[in-house]
Amino acid sequence: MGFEALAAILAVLSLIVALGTIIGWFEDLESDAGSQSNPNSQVQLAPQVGVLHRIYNKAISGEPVSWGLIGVTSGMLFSILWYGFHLHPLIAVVASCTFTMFVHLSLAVSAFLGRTSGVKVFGQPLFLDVAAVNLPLIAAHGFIGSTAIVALSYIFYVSFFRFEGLLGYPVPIPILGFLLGVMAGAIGSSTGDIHYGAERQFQQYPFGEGVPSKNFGHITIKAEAGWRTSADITYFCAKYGGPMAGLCYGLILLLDSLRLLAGNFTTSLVGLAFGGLIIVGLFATNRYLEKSARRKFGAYA
Amino acid sequence: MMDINLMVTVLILIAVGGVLIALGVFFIPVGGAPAAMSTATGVATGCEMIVVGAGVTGLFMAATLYNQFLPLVIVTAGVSSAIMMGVTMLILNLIVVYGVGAPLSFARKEYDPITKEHVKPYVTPGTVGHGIPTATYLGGLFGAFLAGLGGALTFSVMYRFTCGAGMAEMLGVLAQTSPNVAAIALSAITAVGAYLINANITAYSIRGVIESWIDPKFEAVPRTLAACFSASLLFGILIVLASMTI
Repeated sequence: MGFEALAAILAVLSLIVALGTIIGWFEDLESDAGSQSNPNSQVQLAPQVGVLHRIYNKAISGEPVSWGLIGVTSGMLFSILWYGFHLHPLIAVVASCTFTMFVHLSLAVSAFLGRTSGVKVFGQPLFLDVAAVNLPLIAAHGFIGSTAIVALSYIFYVSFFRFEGLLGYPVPIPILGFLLGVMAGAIGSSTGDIHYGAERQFQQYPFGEGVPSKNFGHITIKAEAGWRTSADITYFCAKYGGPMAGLCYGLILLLDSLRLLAGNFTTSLVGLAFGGLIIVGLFATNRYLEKSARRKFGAYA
Repeated sequence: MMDINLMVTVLILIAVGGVLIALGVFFIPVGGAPAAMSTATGVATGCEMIVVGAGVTGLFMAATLYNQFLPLVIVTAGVSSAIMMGVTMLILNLIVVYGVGAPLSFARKEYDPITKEHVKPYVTPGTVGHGIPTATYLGGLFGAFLAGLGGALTFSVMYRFTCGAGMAEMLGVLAQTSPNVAAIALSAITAVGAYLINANITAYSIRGVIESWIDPKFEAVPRTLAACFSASLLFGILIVLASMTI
């Protein structure tokens, strides 16, 4: 293999990792903006314990399902426009994701109205300005996330046939969009949400501890100035939770693609051994993190 | 005329794949919504969701290695799933440690069975642990590996069956030089279906949350595996019938 072909493969790999990082990052922030993540249980519980709030709540399904829907909708439209109508891929990505954004918005609005009217008996008002302020935020994050998903699906699909199986996956773009969306949801929901649920949502309690069950529902409703809205939450989580979810997604794509490349350039067994090495490295890093955290933080008195 | 032996082999392999997925779910530390508030230990999402998320990485790998030796394909895909799970759990721990400021711990046992360290004092009073300590981290890696094996087995067997492979090609190397994209689409949907069905049955059995192999709920394994075997067999019959129409 020539130097140029190798350079092209590495360039595509870096593009894949960059797009993956964007997907994870914006997926997590979109879920924080709409409280779609696991912490939505607290937003929904708060009025029942007498804590009325101005936080957007649009959780009617898990994040993976919701992002699978976004991925498959945009991927399917992209395939139709690109493969069927022979549009340029860049135009097809924008057109398909714009349409997906409207689907996403209609779900977000109906879910917000439904979830909030469900707790009306506890005195929770339905603030229409909350919807007006937060909807553009949700739409923007959803749009960027779905654009990255479709672009990544396209790159995976095309590079598999272009590089003769060295990089990429031979999965049709709509299915790839669905699977990448589900994966993004699973990652965002299991990593980035903790920053929202355990820290931002319970900020009036001391830093450095998990949330005891007795505090459930007593979420922070006052912001740095005035009432807290979902935009404040997104602003905070964009500093650590979101980027870490992005790092997670990017790291998975990087390690897995590196392993695929290692296997393709040598033999499959070498790729397998390389995978084992990566797992041992991850385990060792986790063990170091565990030990250092216990040493630095100490036990609870 | 369809080869009846081949069809029975496919059904049994799909059922075995379902059993592997179910067993994998038992090993993955699932904390559900309380884990997102650092009230419980484990991965902060539902077990179906994290299993599908981890399995997808394995499916991609199995799709890329569509024509290689079957055992090699499924083991490679299993390692892919384990990598995904390992990275996710590591980043989760980074957020718990630096974003929430809590050390990794669980309250189920006084000592970590792997490292023999005293973990109970690091649990916030009023919670049952946070993050994923070493014992459950290892369980998560192994569980994702098993689930990845099961999903990739379902995927590869379904792909080869749809492409019209014989018994030798089914279990060995597939003589194909370019992938059949329509068959990959069908097989990917089948594998995601297998993940959801088996993870869901297991989720009832573990009542939504489990702390990997140190949890007493682990005793429910034989019953659940039997249930998953029969459910996957039924699912296999339906999907094999559906694939004949292609």
